[in-house]
Amino acid sequence: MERVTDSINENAEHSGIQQKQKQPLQSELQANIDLLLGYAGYSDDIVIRRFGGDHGIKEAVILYVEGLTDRDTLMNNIIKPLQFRKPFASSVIDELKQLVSASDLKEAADTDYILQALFSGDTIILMHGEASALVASSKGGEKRPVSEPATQTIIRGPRESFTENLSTNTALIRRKVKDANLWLETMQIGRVTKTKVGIMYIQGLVQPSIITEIKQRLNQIDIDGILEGGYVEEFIQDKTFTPFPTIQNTDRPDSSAAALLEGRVVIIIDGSPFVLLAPALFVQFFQASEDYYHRWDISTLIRGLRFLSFAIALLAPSLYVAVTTYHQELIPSSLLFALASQREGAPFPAFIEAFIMEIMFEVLREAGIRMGRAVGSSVSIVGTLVIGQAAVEAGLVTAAMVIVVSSTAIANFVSPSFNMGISTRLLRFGFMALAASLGLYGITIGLIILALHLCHLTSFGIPYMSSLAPYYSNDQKDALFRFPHWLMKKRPQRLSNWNEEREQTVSVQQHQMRDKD
Amino acid sequence: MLGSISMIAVALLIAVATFPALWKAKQRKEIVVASIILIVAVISGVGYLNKLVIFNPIFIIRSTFEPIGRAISDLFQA
Amino acid sequence: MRHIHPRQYMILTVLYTIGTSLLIIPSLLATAVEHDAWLGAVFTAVFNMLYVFVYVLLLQRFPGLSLVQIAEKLLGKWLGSVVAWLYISFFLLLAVLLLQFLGQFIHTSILPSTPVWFIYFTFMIVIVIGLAYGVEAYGRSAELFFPIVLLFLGLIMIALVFEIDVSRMRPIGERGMSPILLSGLKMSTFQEQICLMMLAPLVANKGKQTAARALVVGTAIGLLVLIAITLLTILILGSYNTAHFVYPVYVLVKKISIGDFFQRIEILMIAIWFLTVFVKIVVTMHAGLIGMTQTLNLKSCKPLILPVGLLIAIYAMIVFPNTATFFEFGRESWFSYALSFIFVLPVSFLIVDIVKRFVGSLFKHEVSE
Repeated sequence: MERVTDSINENAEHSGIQQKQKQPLQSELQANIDLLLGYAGYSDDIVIRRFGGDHGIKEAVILYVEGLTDRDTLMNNIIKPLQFRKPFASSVIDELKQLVSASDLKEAADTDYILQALFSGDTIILMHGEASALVASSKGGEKRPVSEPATQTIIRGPRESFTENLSTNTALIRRKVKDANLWLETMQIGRVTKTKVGIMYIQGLVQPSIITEIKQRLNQIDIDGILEGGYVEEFIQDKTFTPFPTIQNTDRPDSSAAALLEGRVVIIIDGSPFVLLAPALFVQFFQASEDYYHRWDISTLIRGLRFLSFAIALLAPSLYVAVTTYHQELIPSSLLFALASQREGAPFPAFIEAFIMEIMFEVLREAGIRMGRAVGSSVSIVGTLVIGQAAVEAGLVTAAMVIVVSSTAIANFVSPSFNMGISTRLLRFGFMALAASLGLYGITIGLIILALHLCHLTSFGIPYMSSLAPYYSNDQKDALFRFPHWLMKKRPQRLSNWNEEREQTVSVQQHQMRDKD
Repeated sequence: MLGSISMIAVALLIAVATFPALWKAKQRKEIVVASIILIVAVISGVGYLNKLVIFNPIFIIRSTFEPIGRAISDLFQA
Repeated sequence: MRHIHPRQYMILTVLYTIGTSLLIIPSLLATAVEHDAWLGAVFTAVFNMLYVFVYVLLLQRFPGLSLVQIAEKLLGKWLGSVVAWLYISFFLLLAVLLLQFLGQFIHTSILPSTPVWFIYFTFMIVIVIGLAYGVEAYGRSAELFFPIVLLFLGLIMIALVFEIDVSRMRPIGERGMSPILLSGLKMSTFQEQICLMMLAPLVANKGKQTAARALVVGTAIGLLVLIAITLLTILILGSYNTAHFVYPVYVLVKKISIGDFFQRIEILMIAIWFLTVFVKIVVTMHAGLIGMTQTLNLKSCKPLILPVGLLIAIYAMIVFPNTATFFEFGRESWFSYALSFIFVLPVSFLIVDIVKRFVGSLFKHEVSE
């Protein structure tokens, strides 16, 4: 469906995507209408409403796209005033500017701009004899209301989630961070989709090099369409070949606000409720917003649990394969007898068995996502209990293997960030292969290579494993543990090496203003 | 036989993988040095596998330093 | 210019010093001086600190220069190159020996049916990856490994505390000091911190935390660990056993059994040992590569990583036909060979430098009059 922009010029010849210079507006009203509608191919959802033209009132025409505009604004603020115009002697544009009571009113002559505004939901007002048009803000239409987050559900904490509308999202963030230093910059990415993308950051907290880097990378994106943050993510992330994510995403305003306070940048894409948080470091993928709302003692333990689950999800199948194939002497004797009797009748070697089970589980997982709500729950019960149990009883796999595979899968779900879970899903197959060929030695060298790889990664210039390596003792309060809030006095050094105290106010002007009191 | 072939294959693989990029970056000296090292490695390896006597630096070190070592030990015992 | 933090340099030094020493030194010391092995370890530490002291002096006199560059600066182009190449050959040979030692150990203890050369090559792949990622990556990895290593060593020491029998240590110094001194001297050539000196220019000095300080502190910590472990083997296994097992520390860890469950943790020991030897081989190879890059005036060592890796892996197969010759080499020839590079040459550099400066100041003095 979406094609990258290399073929944009060929498209222009074949399918006629006209991105070239458009002709400017002229003074003739009908000519202007024909011009604009011509570029839009006289699409049926563009409505033309004429006003005046007789009784001495100069003719005016409004154009709008049904469905993109807000009915009430359109009726009350634009159509009503225009309907009851009285003839004036002065210039028509000024008259209309006074009549129309839209929240944002601009005069424009650039055809590109006018067409884009039209297809964003604004109303275009054309007048006879004027070579420019008025663009009245009337964006509206059907939108999903602010609801609960779909993926990152929590027990305690705010339940708002982002929506597909950029301005709603920026407003949700502004409600959390009311400081004037929260700056927003927008840009338009995507030649055909013309998607609005916004960057929010707290001036003074963010390392300036990160902002320049992000802006530069966003400007370099040249593609037909941006439909979701994922597109942007792949374009702007550090170009190292890695299964690990270097940008985080979330659909919760409170996570975004927390990220902003740490000195990160939030990238919002119009059309998707998932925003991007950059830069993203390894330890941050194990933090969930709930950690900060519950008490510190349970949060620390649960965080430890997350790291443990990461290790289990990554290594459990490979450890099982390695130990049962090569290092049987490691298993305590009672367990050894149980396992040996199970493996007695097993048709496949441990590695093949593990591989097949893991693949089966991935298939079940994908199927569960595609199915609708009604059928989905039955798939999970069917999948895990029935198929697993039946496979064991049929003698195809050992019961221990079922346990290992299901624990791996469940441990995978513990990770608060879906993209980190993806990395473990990919890597555990690599570890299984290493375990099958070289046993524990293989797993050890796999882990060394993994450590080297993780330490090599950077996210927008910051070492990926920051807080652990390079080790910042100050950051340990929030990396593996979660110390009480009254102990976390300084911001994490991994991102704010250059600006430390949490209480320190951010701008010089504020200092000056305070002094004046 | 298999060992020698695989050694040569690995060396060639390394050469093919790294040399074009170096050639483009005009790092001629590196290509020369890398090739020398690869050739020495392959010759030593192949020679060892086929039981030819090839340069083993340990011999040199042993013949030079073993007497010195013994001399120092004797010094201490005295 | 790649940079690492002085703390990472210190961690590299600790892991490097521990390196292979934990596994081989207790046995060799016990063979030579029986139950005074721990005293031998103390003298090993003393000699080692002496060498490091020389390196520190050199670092202070030639800030920002690596060993090879110092050689060329002091001795001129020709002689300096010869010395540089001698050092490079030393580094590469050391890497070969380390790889061989590791491979043999893995082959004999945990993977007997895997051919040795396969183990060499697979481990070399890991090392090549580490080198390709650069010193920042493996420095940070060392930082990650460090707490694990320390934790494990602490665990061993605590778990074994109850089995200590102090009488195994006595009588102390029964044979006189000179054999102890000799064995201490011999064993001190197994730490080879000289390779770390090649990496010193890569450390970003931050005020008081300089590369020199990191080197000293790191070596001290590593040596303390060595003394402690040697002491433990003597106090628990006794001098006869320590001398007669090839890898007494491995045997020591095997003895740990708490409850009926916490056993067989020597696997962890092996894993820890992988980490320290990995660091040692990576640093040694990197030293050799840096040396080559600097002597030949190349832009970077990246293109040479794979060829040198192949060379070392192949030579690991060639150098010693069996373990016996390896240990004989270690006992008889190694220490004088290594000593020349670890101590004799650096001290000569110092002497040459002192003489040069002295003579230089004499001439200046005359001119100004």
